[in-house]
Formats: sequence, C-alpha cells, structure tokens
Amino acid sequence: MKNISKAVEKKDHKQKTSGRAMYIADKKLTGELQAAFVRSELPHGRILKIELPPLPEGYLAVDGRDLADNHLQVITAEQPVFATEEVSYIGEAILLIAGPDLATARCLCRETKVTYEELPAVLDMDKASAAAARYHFAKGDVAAALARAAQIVEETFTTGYQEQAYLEPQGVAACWDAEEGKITVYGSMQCPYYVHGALMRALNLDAQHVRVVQEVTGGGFGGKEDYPSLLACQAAAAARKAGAPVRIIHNRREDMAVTPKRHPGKLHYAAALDAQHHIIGLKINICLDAGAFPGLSSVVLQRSLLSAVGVYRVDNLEAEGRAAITNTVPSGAFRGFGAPQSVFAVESLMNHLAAKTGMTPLAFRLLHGVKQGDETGTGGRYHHHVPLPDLIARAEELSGYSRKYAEYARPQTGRYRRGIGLALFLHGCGFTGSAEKDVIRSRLILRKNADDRVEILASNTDMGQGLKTTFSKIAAEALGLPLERIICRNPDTDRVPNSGPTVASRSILIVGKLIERAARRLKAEWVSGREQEVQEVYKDDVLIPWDLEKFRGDAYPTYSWGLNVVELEEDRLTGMTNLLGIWGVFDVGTVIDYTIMKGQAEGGILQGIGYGSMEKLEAQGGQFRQGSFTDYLIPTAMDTVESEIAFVDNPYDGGPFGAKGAGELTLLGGAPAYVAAVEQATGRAYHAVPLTPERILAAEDKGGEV
Amino acid sequence: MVEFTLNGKNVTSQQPPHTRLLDVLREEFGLRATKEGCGEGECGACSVLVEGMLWNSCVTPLANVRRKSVTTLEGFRDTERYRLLEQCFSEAGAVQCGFCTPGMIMAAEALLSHNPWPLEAEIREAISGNLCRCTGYNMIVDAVRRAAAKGAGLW
Amino acid sequence: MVTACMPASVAEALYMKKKAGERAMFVAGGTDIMPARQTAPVMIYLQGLHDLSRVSRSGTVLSIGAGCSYTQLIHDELIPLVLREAMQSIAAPAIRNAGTLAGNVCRASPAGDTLPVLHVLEAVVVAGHLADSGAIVERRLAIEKFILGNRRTALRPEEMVLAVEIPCSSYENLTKMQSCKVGGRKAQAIAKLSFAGICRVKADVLQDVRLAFGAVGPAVVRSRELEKKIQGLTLTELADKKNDILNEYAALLQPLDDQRSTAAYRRQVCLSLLEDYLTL
Repeated sequence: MKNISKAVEKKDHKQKTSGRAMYIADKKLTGELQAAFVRSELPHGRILKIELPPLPEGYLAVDGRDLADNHLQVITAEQPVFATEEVSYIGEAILLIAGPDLATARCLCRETKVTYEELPAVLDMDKASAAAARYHFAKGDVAAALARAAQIVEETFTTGYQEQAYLEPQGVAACWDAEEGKITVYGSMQCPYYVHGALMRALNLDAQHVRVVQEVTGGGFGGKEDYPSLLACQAAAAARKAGAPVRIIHNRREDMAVTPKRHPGKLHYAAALDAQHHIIGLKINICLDAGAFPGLSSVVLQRSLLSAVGVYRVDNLEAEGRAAITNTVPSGAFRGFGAPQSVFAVESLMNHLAAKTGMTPLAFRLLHGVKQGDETGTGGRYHHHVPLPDLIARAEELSGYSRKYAEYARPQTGRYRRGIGLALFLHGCGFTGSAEKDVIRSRLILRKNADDRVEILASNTDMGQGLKTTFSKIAAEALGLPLERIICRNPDTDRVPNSGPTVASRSILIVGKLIERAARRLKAEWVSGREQEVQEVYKDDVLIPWDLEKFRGDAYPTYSWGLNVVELEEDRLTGMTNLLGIWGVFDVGTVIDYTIMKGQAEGGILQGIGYGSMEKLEAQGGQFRQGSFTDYLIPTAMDTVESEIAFVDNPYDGGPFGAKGAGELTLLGGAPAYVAAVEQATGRAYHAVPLTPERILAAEDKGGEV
Repeated sequence: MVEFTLNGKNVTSQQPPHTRLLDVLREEFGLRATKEGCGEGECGACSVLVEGMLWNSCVTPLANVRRKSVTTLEGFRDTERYRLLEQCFSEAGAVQCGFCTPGMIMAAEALLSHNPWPLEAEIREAISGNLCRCTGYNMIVDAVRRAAAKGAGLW
Repeated sequence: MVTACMPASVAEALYMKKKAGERAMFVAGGTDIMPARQTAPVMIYLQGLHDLSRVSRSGTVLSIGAGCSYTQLIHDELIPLVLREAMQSIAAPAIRNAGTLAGNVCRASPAGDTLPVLHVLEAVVVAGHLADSGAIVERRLAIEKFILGNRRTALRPEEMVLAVEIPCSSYENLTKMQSCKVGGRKAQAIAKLSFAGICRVKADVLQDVRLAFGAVGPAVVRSRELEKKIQGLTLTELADKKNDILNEYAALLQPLDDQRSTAAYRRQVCLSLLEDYLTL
C-alpha cells in the first residue's frame, strides 16, 4: 500500500464523535427569527389572491417582491425563489413568515389563505411536451445494424425517485449587515459558491457583499447541491427585510416534500444481435422526469446518456434523451447523477440478452467489454488502462461468483431460493464535458502561516466524505509535512477562492490535483517562518475536446471502474430477500485513504442496494406518497451484511498521487447486482427498480416479467 | 415543571410535561449533541439513555423522565468507555457526516452496558433504530465489536 | 391549554380520568402519540405507576400490567414465546424500551404488531374505573370485543386499561405457534401485513386451531367460525381441504393499497403464509 493510502484519524473525528461539531441547527444567532412557509397546494395554478392573517408584532411576511431578482440561479434561472403569479408544483414556496417563535410562524402560515385558479397539470413524464433538455448522439449506423440483425431485443426499464435521506435536514441562517450592505449566509451545503452566485443575483449585490459560510454538513449526496441556494435566497430576503438574522431549518417531512430527488426514468433499449450473439447495434431512448424547473436536469441527462452503454463496446449506437418538465418537485442531484438509472438498465439488459443467448451473464459481458484505446459512444477514447479483467479476477477470488452462479442455476426447491448477481460499471470523473475549463475554472490557494502551518483555501466542502482529511493528506504528502501542520476549515467565501462545487466526484481529482501542484511549488519556494501563498488554477488536460452541441469528444478526462456482486436468498412466500454477501471491487486510481475509501464504498453500495430494493418513493397527484422516514425506507443495520471491498491499482497521472473520482462510482452497481441476484433466485426477468417484494410476487403471478 | 436527573445532576425543567424531551435537552439545557433527524422515532439521531436504556428523545414526553436519570452524550463523553468507543469508531472508520454518531455512541453504550460480549447480530439489532446514510453500517458494527473486544472490564 | 397530570397511583389516575372523561388522554410510552403530535386538554402520564409494571401468573391466567414495556416482556420467560417474538419484531430497541403492550392494544392500529398474536392467545383486556365508593371496578373484554376498528376501542371515557390477561391454556401444549410480520425492512418498519397461528394436534387430529391476520382490515381478521370448521379435521383431511380453507379466508381479507404495499400483495402473502402454516 502506498504511503498516502494508509488510513489516518479523520481531522474532524473527535469533534463529530463527541457531539461538539456544530451543525446549523445547533447554532443560535442573537435576536434570530425563525421562518415557516406558505406553500402551493396545487401542482399547477394561478395565484389569484393571498390573504394574510394579522401579523403580531415582530412577525413579517416575505415574498418574491422582497428580492431584486426573483430568479434562482442554478445553471439557468427559470425557477422563482418565491412563486408570485403561478405555482408549478405542490410545495413550491409562495411566501414565508418569520418571527421569534417558530410555532407561531407556522400557525400564521396555516392561517394564510391562498386562492388559486387551477390550471391543467402535467403529472406524467410521458405526457409532457416541454423539456428541460434534449440530446442526441450516434455512432456507426444503427439502422443498418438493426436491418441485418439476427435478433432484435427491445426492453423498457423504469426507475423510481430516490431520496438522498441525508440524516441532517436542510438548513441555513442569514444575517444582513445594513451598514455595510452585506449578506452572510451560514448553512448545510455542498457548494458555497453556488449559493454565493444565487445570492448575488437575487439581492443584486456584488461579490464582496455576499458571504457564504459552510457549517458542518450532515450528509449531502447531491441533495445539498442546488437546494441550499434556494433556501439561502429565501432566508436572505427575510433577513434583509427584518433587519434581524433569520434561520430556516426544515423538519424531515418538509425536507422530503420539497427538496430535489433522483430523477425517475424510463429507458428504452433496442438491441441488435448477430448470429454469434454479438451486440452489433443499440438504440437507446431515455426520458427523465425533471419536475417543474430545469435545475440540474440537463447535466443529469447528459450523464445518463453517457452511461447508457455501460462498460461495453457497441459500434453502432444511437442514443437520445429528454428531461421532461412536469408539475412535480424539481428533480436534482443524487450521487451518480443520472448514471444509476442507466447502469441499472444496461446491466439488466446484458443479463437478459445473456439469458436469451444461453451464455452466462459474465461470459456475455466479457464478449463486449471495452478495452484501452476503444472509441467511446461520443467519439472520445478510453485513453487509459481499462481494468475490467483485473476487477473480474479479484471479484471471482473474493466472492466465488462463477462457482455460486453455476450452483444456483440448478433447480432449487423449498421456501428460500438463492441467487447471485453481478454488475460492471464505470463513472466518468469530474464534470461532463468542458465545464471545468469553460465554467468553473477552479482556483486554489495554499497559505503558509508564519508558524509554518499550511492552510488549504478551497471552496470544497466536507459533508462526511472525509474531504478535510484527504485534502490535508495530499498537501502533507506533497509538502513532506506531518498532517497536523495542515489546516483545512469549512469554507467561507470571504476567505477561500472558488475552487468549484463539491459534486461529480471532482474534488479529489480536480481540486486535489491543484493542491498537489500548489504544494510542490510551495515546497520549492519554502522559507521557514515567513508567510507565503501559492495559487493554482485548473489546466485542461482533455485529449479530444468536448462539443456539447454535437455531443462529441471526450466527455471525461478519465474513468473510474467498479464491479459489485450481491448474493441473496428470496423467500418464495413473501418475495422478501435476505442478503448473504456483498462484494465491491473498484478502480479509483490511487486510494487517498484506505478507510475513508472503504467507507465511501460501503455506504455507496448500500445506497445502491436500497435504490434497487426497498427505497420506494412514488408521486401521486404531484405529491409524494412516502413523505417521512416512517414510510420512505432506507436500509437499517439489520438489512445488510458484512461485505468485502477491494481496490485494484490503476493510478491516473492527471489526479493527485494517481487518484481518480470515487464517491459516486460506488453507488452504481448495487441496484443492478441486487436485481440480477433476485432474477437468478426466481428465474424471472425484471425491468423496474425499486424491485420491491410486491413487484417480485407480481411477476410470479403473471408467470412472467415486470 | 418536571424534575429529573440530567447527566448526574438534579434538574428541574420549566417546560410543560408534554414537551419533547429532545427540545428540553437542546433548547432549555443547551445540550446539542442530541440531534433531530426525523422527529418521529425512526432515525435514532436523538437517542439518549434513560435509566441506562436507549430511548428516542423526540418521541418522549418530558413527563416520562420524571424522577428518572437521563444521560446524553455530554454526560458520557468524559468516561473511559466513551474514549474507547471514540478510538474504535476512528479505527473502524465509523464516522462520516457525524449526524447519526451521537445516537450511535449512545446505542453502543446501551448495548455494551447490558451485553459486553455481543454477537454481530446483536450489534446490528442494537443499532437497528439508528439510521446512517453514509457508512452502510458495517464499519459501525466493526467499531462496536472492536470496543467490546478491547473493553474487557469496562462494561 | 393542556393540563398535564402525573398521578402517583392507579386510583389517582382513574380519578383524574373519571373527572376529565373524554377530554383526557393517557400516555404510556408515548411512542405512537408523540410522532402523531396528539394532545388532549388533559394528558395523564402513566410512567410513574409501578403497580402497572408487573407480570404475574396466578393459577391459569397470565396477567401483564399495562405499564410493561416491550423490552421488559421480551426478557420475561413467563411470557409465551410467540408473543415475545412478535414484540421483538416491533421497531427497534429504543422504541421497545419505551413502548408498552397495553399501548399497542389501546392505540388499536390496524397494523399493531402484537394484535394478531393477542387474538390467537385469546387475550382479555382488563379495563378499570373508579366507582363512587372509591373502589376500582374492573371489566374484562376479549380482545376482539375491545378493539372495534381502526383506532377504535370499547374503552369507556372513565376507564383505563390496567392489564392484558392471557389464559395459560391458550399457549400451553401447542404443536405449532407462529407469528410472522411482513414489513418493508428488517427493523423500524410498520407491518404491511402480519399473521399469527396457533394449533394443537393430537393423534393426527387438529384439536385446536386459531388464526389471525393483521393490517388486512380495520381490525385483526380472525374467524372463530372458520376455525371451528378446521378443528377436528385429521391432517389428511386438512391437506385435502386446504384450498377451500384458503378461499374462505380470502373472502374475509379486506386489504388496501397504500404507501406501504398493495392490496394484491397483502392478500397473496397472507394466504401463502396461511397455506405454509397449515402444512403440518
């Protein structure tokens, strides 16, 4: 194991474990007000009248008129901060009431009467005509491949919403300094500079008059990528109007009702096979439910499309996708960001095609796996070593996959039937396309204090993934300093440059590389006892430039790779499953900290298995049916089993010490491997996640497939 | 007014008896290690010990702890047992976002104080009311197992 | 305005209830009332009533005090195993430490985890009220007479549940006892459905059989009429008539589609569990 991979105690371990870490709900600001919302009760309607109850002394109502620009800056800025004339989804904020007592504010909100004219609502993505984004790309000649195919197999897969279920609900606090004309927002967030940009726009302030401070963040998983910007603008409007600090902490039900989830998806595949069972063409159509506003949907859809062929080489390919606008809560980011939908679909398709050709799932995959130098679907290349054989060999060794697969393929009797499933997957590291170069342009500063301690000034956040520790390890290793001499605080935009958001598994790869480069320079210039500062900016190293219009080129600088195996038994009577084993083998380049990486793997896999099995979240009439932790079920400690996690060594020169992206990758294989295991146990084919016991038994009933 | 013992001291809460114990601890006594994750007894972030047993403070009315002893993480974190748990949670990598951690520590203490040599299944059951979205649990199970192994005589 | 009472004795609790009647609500563990944010003008907290925390067996009756927590009962070997297993499937340790068996009965949720088992154990609910004389007057109701429907019980405004009694004959010398909860996950789950079965077989003849289903109707589904039909069958006859029996039970189930499951699933799994149970 490389030196840097050796586990250390996390920088924030003692703070968090002892309960001393202060989350936003734990902080009190002097004279603060708390806020509650009046929210839309209709999926679509025109606001005709708003009647507020008389507000007691110290309470105030805040709406879109209290902002200089009532548009929320995400990628574009369609969504209003407060709905003013029209409401577009149930739960959309219309106004807030702030005051010293939260219960009173809530009560006043309940007494507020909104009169609407109901407008027709689009609740089904199939019926949506508007789209947040549409893309199309092709390679080779799919029509010809379909025409000459010995067999064409068409399948449609559906995937449900998934709730991030970070344990800490969303929350921010805003303070307005009237003298300086400056707003400060503290909060639980992934992307301080996204919040910063949104506040600049909404309040019409310049960069110096907006300050955003990340507090200890209790999990994000993508859920705190865009939503904190909305909450910050709402709180800021209230703080400025009230002349007092305003704190908004969602309770769990409110959080679940209004914050973005993983996009539900519908994915259609038509596969052309030749007589030798080789896939000669693939035609793919993906539709994601964007909800009421575009938000992050364009980039989520890009990732969905780019992941839709999985780890396989298909020479004739056509893929198109759209993110449909519906009158539902805007969908957003969740670890994997469009890829989990596609990976479930393509991996399940591979299993079904294997079955049709009489091959084992693994043999069929080996026939199609990409190799170094192969062209990607978009005319880019797999420039670096493709470790699929290494992953498979290690997984076989750990899990005995093929042996068990053969054993469980024999007829099984009795109440419980066993199955084992496998999934292969890749994840493009960092932002899709040219965003790093064209949009983010990360800047990072290493500041050396007179006491020879070095502080990392970056805007990336630790939300539990251990970034303070991994960033510090990179700096310490490159500087040759002990870890204690490296300082990494929660970002404060008054102090840190914009090194970009904490998303897309980019922090280590992109910003970590900047830290490494800055540290090497600082080391070369090191003068003990003197204050020094080194700045680094992102340099593009993409080999085939990306063209979004044409959807062509290298979508990512490189890829991380993974393999999951899930073994389980299914109860014929109830359709419930007991997990028997979980294995994960990953190539994330150099592992920066073995324990932290193992934690990412363990947590990601279980989120993936949850996605594939029990995490049912349905919208009905534009409202979620599972609106609380009582009804939306994530796995407990009793729902999982001990797992084995391993890493193959495949360092990437473009990353710090050879590291690549890691966080999202680990979620991708859980669902398809779980479904594959159930498929072997029951002998049925499934096309939907979550694959609940209800769906498993329904398939039995129909003697076929769901 | 409700009297109870909080972290070893006799206290009197001025809150009405139907107030959630969680709010009494966090707001009246400023003990913020106890977290609110769901507010309906599903996630365990608010776990505290009442007479040495694990309770969810978000579904406990203040009245129910009258004349009982309540221990929060603040009242536990200066003990040898806590220090060992903290070390084992570090070694095992059991802490990520940290929001579930105070509750997990209290659940581990509740388990080990009644069962110093737990089986893996018993550990899983003991923390089954404490949701964690980051770790996938196995590293927490490992941490508790390590603490049990190293903690001979402590529990 | 909420008035909170923390009585020091059962008599005092009953006195308060008698005075406040329907305006008063009892709180034991609070694990169901608190998340629902239910309050009443008068809240009577029972936590301090140690008289209610006893389990005793006198002669042929097992008496479980209304204040006994699930955890206490799970560890009490006087309690029949099938009931302990059902309680073990409830939520997670923290809820089981606070929640009470009597609370589960009084809250009368269609998905109450102990209710099917209590039905097959022929549990009797002991309700008490304070007479004008100051004496505590008890009233005993079979559980199916006590729970009238979804969240509805036969408890009178002046009454309080003092204990749940189980006749020992209901669980002794049995051939097969089973309780099965089907939830969305292995802990912290509300039942999608549940099943409990108890039977006694002697010389290949079913002498006693009691079967109950939870979460497939407003209250637990148990049919003494059908049970009578099954009793007295030989095991061979039972095997022959199994399909008819399943069909008759199918007609009694009234499952719903909701956020937790589907009517079809609930029906199918209930019948599968029954079929499996009757495979003797």
